[in-house]
Amino acid sequence: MSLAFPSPDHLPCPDCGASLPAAGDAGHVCDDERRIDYRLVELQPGIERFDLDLAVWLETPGGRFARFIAERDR
Amino acid sequence: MHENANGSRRLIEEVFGAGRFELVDELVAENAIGHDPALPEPASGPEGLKQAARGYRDAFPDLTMKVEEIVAENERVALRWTARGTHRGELFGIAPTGKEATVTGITIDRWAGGKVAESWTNWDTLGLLQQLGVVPAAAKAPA
Ligand SMILES: [Zn+2]
Repeated sequence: MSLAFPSPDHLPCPDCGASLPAAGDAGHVCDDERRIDYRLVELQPGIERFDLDLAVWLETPGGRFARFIAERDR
Repeated sequence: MHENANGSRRLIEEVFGAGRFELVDELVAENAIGHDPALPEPASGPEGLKQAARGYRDAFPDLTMKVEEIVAENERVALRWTARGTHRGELFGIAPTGKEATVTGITIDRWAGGKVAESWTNWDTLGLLQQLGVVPAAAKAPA
Protein backbone atom coordinates (compact mmCIF):
# COMPACT_ATOMS: atom_id res chain seq x y z
CA MET A 1 0.00 0.00 0.00
CA SER A 2 1.43 3.36 -1.00
CA LEU A 3 1.29 6.45 1.15
CA ALA A 4 -0.55 9.59 0.14
CA PHE A 5 -0.31 13.21 1.25
CA PRO A 6 -2.83 13.46 4.14
CA SER A 7 -6.17 15.03 3.42
CA PRO A 8 -8.70 15.99 6.11
CA ASP A 9 -11.89 14.03 6.78
CA HIS A 10 -13.83 17.29 6.93
CA LEU A 11 -13.80 20.43 4.76
CA PRO A 12 -15.72 23.70 5.14
CA CYS A 13 -18.79 24.30 2.97
CA PRO A 14 -17.67 26.86 0.34
CA ASP A 15 -20.87 28.88 0.84
CA CYS A 16 -21.29 29.01 4.62
CA GLY A 17 -18.05 27.62 6.12
CA ALA A 18 -19.80 24.78 8.01
CA SER A 19 -17.60 21.74 8.59
CA LEU A 20 -18.79 18.89 6.34
CA PRO A 21 -17.49 15.35 5.77
CA ALA A 22 -14.98 15.51 2.90
CA ALA A 23 -16.51 12.35 1.43
CA GLY A 24 -19.62 14.41 0.64
CA ASP A 25 -22.72 15.48 2.48
CA ALA A 26 -25.64 15.61 0.06
CA GLY A 27 -28.02 16.50 2.88
CA HIS A 28 -26.32 19.77 3.85
CA VAL A 29 -28.41 22.93 3.59
CA CYS A 30 -26.66 26.20 4.46
CA ASP A 31 -27.97 28.04 7.51
CA ASP A 32 -28.84 31.60 6.36
CA GLU A 33 -27.32 33.30 9.41
CA ARG A 34 -24.12 31.28 9.09
CA ARG A 35 -23.87 32.10 5.36
CA ILE A 36 -24.17 35.85 6.03
CA ASP A 37 -21.59 35.67 8.84
CA TYR A 38 -19.22 33.78 6.57
CA ARG A 39 -19.62 36.28 3.70
CA LEU A 40 -18.95 39.14 6.12
CA VAL A 41 -15.68 37.56 7.27
CA GLU A 42 -14.67 37.10 3.61
CA LEU A 43 -15.56 40.70 2.80
CA GLN A 44 -13.95 42.17 5.94
CA PRO A 45 -10.60 43.11 4.32
CA GLY A 46 -12.51 44.94 1.54
CA ILE A 47 -14.71 46.73 4.10
CA GLU A 48 -11.63 47.84 6.04
CA ARG A 49 -9.94 49.01 2.84
CA PHE A 50 -13.06 50.96 1.86
CA ASP A 51 -13.19 52.70 5.26
CA LEU A 52 -9.53 53.64 4.91
CA ASP A 53 -9.92 54.87 1.30
CA LEU A 54 -12.99 56.90 2.29
CA ALA A 55 -11.17 58.55 5.20
CA VAL A 56 -8.31 59.51 2.88
CA TRP A 57 -10.68 60.80 0.18
CA LEU A 58 -12.65 62.90 2.69
CA GLU A 59 -9.46 64.91 3.26
CA THR A 60 -8.96 65.68 -0.46
CA PRO A 61 -10.35 68.96 -1.93
CA GLY A 62 -13.23 66.98 -3.55
CA GLY A 63 -13.94 65.15 -0.29
CA ARG A 64 -13.85 68.33 1.76
CA PHE A 65 -16.27 70.02 -0.67
CA ALA A 66 -18.64 66.98 -0.48
CA ARG A 67 -18.56 67.28 3.32
CA PHE A 68 -19.30 71.01 3.07
CA ILE A 69 -22.35 70.38 0.83
CA ALA A 70 -23.59 67.53 3.04
CA GLU A 71 -23.26 69.71 6.11
CA ARG A 72 -25.08 72.63 4.40
CA ASP A 73 -28.00 70.41 3.23
CA ARG A 74 -28.42 68.54 6.49
CA MET B 1 -16.52 4.93 35.07
CA HIS B 2 -13.01 4.97 36.52
CA GLU B 3 -12.55 8.23 38.48
CA ASN B 4 -9.36 9.27 36.68
CA ALA B 5 -10.92 8.50 33.31
CA ASN B 6 -13.87 10.69 34.17
CA GLY B 7 -11.55 13.53 35.25
CA SER B 8 -9.57 13.29 32.00
CA ARG B 9 -12.79 13.35 30.01
CA ARG B 10 -13.99 16.45 31.90
CA LEU B 11 -10.73 18.28 31.20
CA ILE B 12 -11.26 17.79 27.48
CA GLU B 13 -15.03 18.14 27.17
CA GLU B 14 -15.75 20.70 29.91
CA VAL B 15 -12.55 22.78 30.15
CA PHE B 16 -11.38 22.91 26.52
CA GLY B 17 -14.79 22.14 25.05
CA ALA B 18 -16.98 24.41 27.22
CA GLY B 19 -14.67 26.95 28.89
CA ARG B 20 -15.20 25.75 32.48
CA PHE B 21 -11.72 26.91 33.52
CA GLU B 22 -12.52 26.64 37.24
CA LEU B 23 -12.37 22.84 36.93
CA VAL B 24 -8.66 22.97 36.13
CA ASP B 25 -7.62 23.68 39.74
CA GLU B 26 -9.61 20.66 40.84
CA LEU B 27 -8.15 18.29 38.24
CA VAL B 28 -4.58 19.42 37.48
CA ALA B 29 -1.54 19.17 39.75
CA GLU B 30 0.43 22.28 40.72
CA ASN B 31 3.58 21.04 38.93
CA ALA B 32 1.80 19.37 36.00
CA ILE B 33 3.28 19.46 32.48
CA GLY B 34 1.13 19.50 29.34
CA HIS B 35 2.61 18.61 25.93
CA ASP B 36 0.80 19.80 22.78
CA PRO B 37 2.36 20.22 19.31
CA ALA B 38 0.66 23.64 18.97
CA LEU B 39 2.21 25.11 22.12
CA PRO B 40 5.61 26.83 21.79
CA GLU B 41 6.59 25.19 25.09
CA PRO B 42 4.86 22.69 27.38
CA ALA B 43 2.02 24.10 29.50
CA SER B 44 3.02 24.37 33.13
CA GLY B 45 0.62 23.74 36.02
CA PRO B 46 -3.07 24.69 36.20
CA GLU B 47 -2.42 28.24 34.98
CA GLY B 48 -0.48 27.03 31.92
CA LEU B 49 -3.30 24.68 31.05
CA LYS B 50 -5.95 27.39 31.46
CA GLN B 51 -3.88 29.65 29.21
CA ALA B 52 -3.68 26.94 26.55
CA ALA B 53 -7.45 26.31 26.74
CA ARG B 54 -8.13 30.07 26.54
CA GLY B 55 -5.88 30.30 23.48
CA TYR B 56 -7.97 27.70 21.67
CA ARG B 57 -11.27 29.18 22.84
CA ASP B 58 -10.21 32.70 21.77
CA ALA B 59 -9.55 31.34 18.26
CA PHE B 60 -12.66 29.08 18.27
CA PRO B 61 -15.21 30.59 20.72
CA ASP B 62 -17.86 27.96 19.90
CA LEU B 63 -15.36 25.09 20.32
CA THR B 64 -16.89 21.79 21.40
CA MET B 65 -14.96 18.62 22.16
CA LYS B 66 -16.28 15.08 22.31
CA VAL B 67 -14.38 12.16 23.78
CA GLU B 68 -15.07 9.20 21.48
CA GLU B 69 -13.14 6.51 23.36
CA ILE B 70 -11.30 6.07 26.65
CA VAL B 71 -8.77 3.44 27.67
CA ALA B 72 -7.64 3.52 31.30
CA GLU B 73 -4.89 1.41 32.82
CA ASN B 74 -3.28 1.94 36.20
CA GLU B 75 -2.41 5.65 36.50
CA ARG B 76 -2.78 6.38 32.78
CA VAL B 77 -5.83 7.40 30.76
CA ALA B 78 -5.85 7.54 26.95
CA LEU B 79 -8.61 9.44 25.16
CA ARG B 80 -9.51 9.71 21.50
CA TRP B 81 -11.45 12.90 20.81
CA THR B 82 -13.02 15.07 18.12
CA ALA B 83 -13.00 18.87 18.31
CA ARG B 84 -15.21 21.19 16.28
CA GLY B 85 -15.33 24.97 16.16
CA THR B 86 -15.52 28.10 14.02
CA HIS B 87 -12.33 30.10 13.45
CA ARG B 88 -13.25 33.57 14.76
CA GLY B 89 -10.00 34.70 16.43
CA GLU B 90 -6.38 34.85 15.26
CA LEU B 91 -4.57 31.50 15.33
CA PHE B 92 -0.89 30.90 14.46
CA GLY B 93 -0.95 34.38 12.92
CA ILE B 94 -3.90 33.44 10.67
CA ALA B 95 -6.65 36.09 10.70
CA PRO B 96 -10.17 34.71 11.38
CA THR B 97 -11.54 32.84 8.34
CA GLY B 98 -15.09 32.13 9.61
CA LYS B 99 -14.54 28.51 8.56
CA GLU B 100 -15.69 25.70 10.83
CA ALA B 101 -13.20 22.87 11.32
CA THR B 102 -13.37 19.34 12.72
CA VAL B 103 -10.16 17.75 13.97
CA THR B 104 -9.29 14.62 15.89
CA GLY B 105 -6.64 14.00 18.52
CA ILE B 106 -5.38 11.63 21.17
CA THR B 107 -4.43 12.59 24.71
CA ILE B 108 -2.71 10.44 27.32
CA ASP B 109 -2.88 11.67 30.92
CA ARG B 110 -0.78 10.41 33.80
CA TRP B 111 -2.53 10.79 37.15
CA ALA B 112 -0.81 11.09 40.52
CA GLY B 113 -2.36 11.91 43.87
CA GLY B 114 -5.82 12.43 42.41
CA LYS B 115 -4.74 14.98 39.79
CA VAL B 116 -3.27 14.99 36.29
CA ALA B 117 0.52 15.21 36.62
CA GLU B 118 1.48 15.00 32.97
CA SER B 119 -0.43 15.06 29.71
CA TRP B 120 0.63 14.28 26.14
CA THR B 121 -1.58 15.33 23.24
CA ASN B 122 -1.19 14.83 19.53
CA TRP B 123 -3.82 16.29 17.25
CA ASP B 124 -4.30 16.83 13.53
CA THR B 125 -2.64 20.22 13.14
CA LEU B 126 -2.11 19.69 9.39
CA GLY B 127 -5.81 18.84 8.96
CA LEU B 128 -6.78 22.05 10.72
CA LEU B 129 -4.53 24.17 8.48
CA GLN B 130 -5.98 22.42 5.42
CA GLN B 131 -9.54 23.05 6.58
CA LEU B 132 -8.75 26.72 7.20
CA GLY B 133 -7.45 26.87 3.62
CA VAL B 134 -3.87 27.88 4.39
CA VAL B 135 -2.33 24.53 3.35
CA PRO B 136 -3.58 22.71 0.22
CA ALA B 137 -5.63 19.57 0.80
CA ALA B 138 -5.09 16.73 -1.66
CA ALA B 139 -8.27 15.60 -3.38
CA LYS B 140 -9.69 12.39 -1.89
CA ALA B 141 -8.92 9.40 -4.12
CA PRO B 142 -12.09 7.89 -5.56
CA ALA B 143 -13.26 4.90 -3.49
ZN1 LIG C 1 -23.23 25.47 3.70
